[in-house]
Amino acid sequence: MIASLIQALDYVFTADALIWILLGFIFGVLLGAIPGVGTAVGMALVLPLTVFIDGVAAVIFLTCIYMGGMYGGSVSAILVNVPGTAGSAATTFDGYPMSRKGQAVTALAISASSSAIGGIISVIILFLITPFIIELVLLFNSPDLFLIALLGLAMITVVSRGSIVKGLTIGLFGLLFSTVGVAPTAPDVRFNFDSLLLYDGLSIVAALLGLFAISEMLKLSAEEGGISKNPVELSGSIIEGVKFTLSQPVHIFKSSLIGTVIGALPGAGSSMANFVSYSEIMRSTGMPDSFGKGDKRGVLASEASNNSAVGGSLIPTLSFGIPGSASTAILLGGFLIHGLDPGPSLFGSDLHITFSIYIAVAIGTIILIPALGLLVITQLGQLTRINVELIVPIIIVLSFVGAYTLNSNWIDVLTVFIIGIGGFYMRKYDYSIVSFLLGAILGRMTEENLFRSLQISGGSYDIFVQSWLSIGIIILTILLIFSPNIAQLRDAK
Amino acid sequence: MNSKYYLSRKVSTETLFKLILLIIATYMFVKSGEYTSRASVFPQVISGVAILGCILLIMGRVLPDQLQSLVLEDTHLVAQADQERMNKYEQDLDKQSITSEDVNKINSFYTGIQMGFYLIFAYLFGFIIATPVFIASYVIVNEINRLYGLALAILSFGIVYSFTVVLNAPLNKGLIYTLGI
Repeated sequence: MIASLIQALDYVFTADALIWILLGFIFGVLLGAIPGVGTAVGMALVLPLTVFIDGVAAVIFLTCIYMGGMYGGSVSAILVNVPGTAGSAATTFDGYPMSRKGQAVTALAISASSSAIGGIISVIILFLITPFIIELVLLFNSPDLFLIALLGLAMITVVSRGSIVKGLTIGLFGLLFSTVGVAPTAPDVRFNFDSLLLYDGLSIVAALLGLFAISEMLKLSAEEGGISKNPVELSGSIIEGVKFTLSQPVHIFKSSLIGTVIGALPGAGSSMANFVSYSEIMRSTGMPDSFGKGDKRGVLASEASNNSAVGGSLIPTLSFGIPGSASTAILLGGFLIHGLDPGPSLFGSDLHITFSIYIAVAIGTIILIPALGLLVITQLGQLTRINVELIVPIIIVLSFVGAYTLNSNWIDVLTVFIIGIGGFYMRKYDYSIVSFLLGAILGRMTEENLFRSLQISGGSYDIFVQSWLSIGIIILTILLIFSPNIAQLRDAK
Repeated sequence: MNSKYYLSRKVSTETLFKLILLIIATYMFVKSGEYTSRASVFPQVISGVAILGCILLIMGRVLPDQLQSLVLEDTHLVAQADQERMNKYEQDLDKQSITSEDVNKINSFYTGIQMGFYLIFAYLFGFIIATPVFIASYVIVNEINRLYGLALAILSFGIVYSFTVVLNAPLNKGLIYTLGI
């Protein structure tokens, strides 16, 4: 473990890696601050371009965009009452009223400082629990890994809101998406319509571009004009904001802890983390009436929790290859296109990659969020005035061109288009796109583990109930699927 | 447009979406049977369950009450208060950001159509030629200031050109025309 840590430090403190960290955070903050674009779209757009850089640098770059975007999302939440990312939704409750009271800069400073502290707390937690994760992932064999994929799918379906049948069904379509092309278990080429272009299957990057960039642009094109209708007056004090954050260690620690734990639940993500954290601070202060009217603690709780949720969401993503959110699903796509294997190996032979990601996030949260957030605070308002109508065509062009550049394969471009249209309707009718994506990403691994398990057992399905770990995962999956009904029964009583 | 008409349209397009899913799942279920058992088990099981899911979703409204609530109702595991706050917030946001339901649908539809033509054009003449044409049509349809439109066209051409030159992507090549660079 120490050797991996030293290897990671050696890697991260090179000029190349530091440049990618810096670029990732800058890009993330800029994208996060533009409502409607968000980090997932930005990460999906740069994903095809990362094939031209080293794999570890690419995943560091993507992680930094994710982290930076989480802070950037608070800018428009505070200045124009529209969160740049879903994870900043609760920031609007008190951030915008603060802006209206002439304390926009103070709110932005609270956001930057609490985001930085929340982020670093989650990285510390990640370092502390890594030895336990290393032990844990070693316990999992092929049958358990197959079951854990099903558990992940069930968890995303239940935790992300919407009908459970819709979520599971669309997740199954994600699994079916992964079955196109050469089977991992036999020399058959499936569902290729006798075309060699489909020999390697459908591109996961193309699916990501379609689901996040194209479907989002179709949705955005429905909304008219710019985001900020009125000029925002940037007044208040940076020092006051930072001082306030530092004077609230208990609240910030509690919010960060909530963020890390909720972030680690697949499907929950930063949006749920910031609402739960906001509710908790309302409850624990005993003054719920002061919230929603510009209480600084509201901004602090929301922002500390959403940035720490980023760290939390890395736990299932890196350890089992199960993304905790849309952005981590794209991060997982980054791993896959670089031939890196998300899952147990990241806590074994590739532990240095995991540590490199942790260190990159730590550098970014300690130095870059405060630096970017506090030094350019007075310029951030400009970002919210960008007219989305002008962004839409550029992102559409980048999506198609990016997909084609990857393999010069028109099937990839067509996949972006079809999945983009499908994704638009999934969003419209409340089908979880993260469920679909999880299925698409986990499909191959799930099929391989199923096949390997059956090979070991000589075709008997008993292998899935032969260890306590497998039985535990099955029980947990069943409980999870029926938990909404249990909750309903409890509410009825 | 009255609300009843809207509701009926919403229901019909959603049903169409579910039917498309059902057709895809059925095709994959049947087609899986043509492969060796090693390659067919996984897609056949998954598509079989997906077919069941699609049927449940299509038949949702006519199912018994208990089953209907499982199929159609939203799940919520967070505390009721948090859930209500999230729902209320989303409703408020929808009210803020959406200007007119009619305009929305038409804009999304046009953007989808334009994207389709963009891809056909790019396939025939290459992305480098198709991109400025797509931008021009987008600017005209969305009545964007012509100066901004020109800037967008130059920017997008610059992006495609740099991809072609720097990343060596054949974006200048189309089926019937190739622009020499």
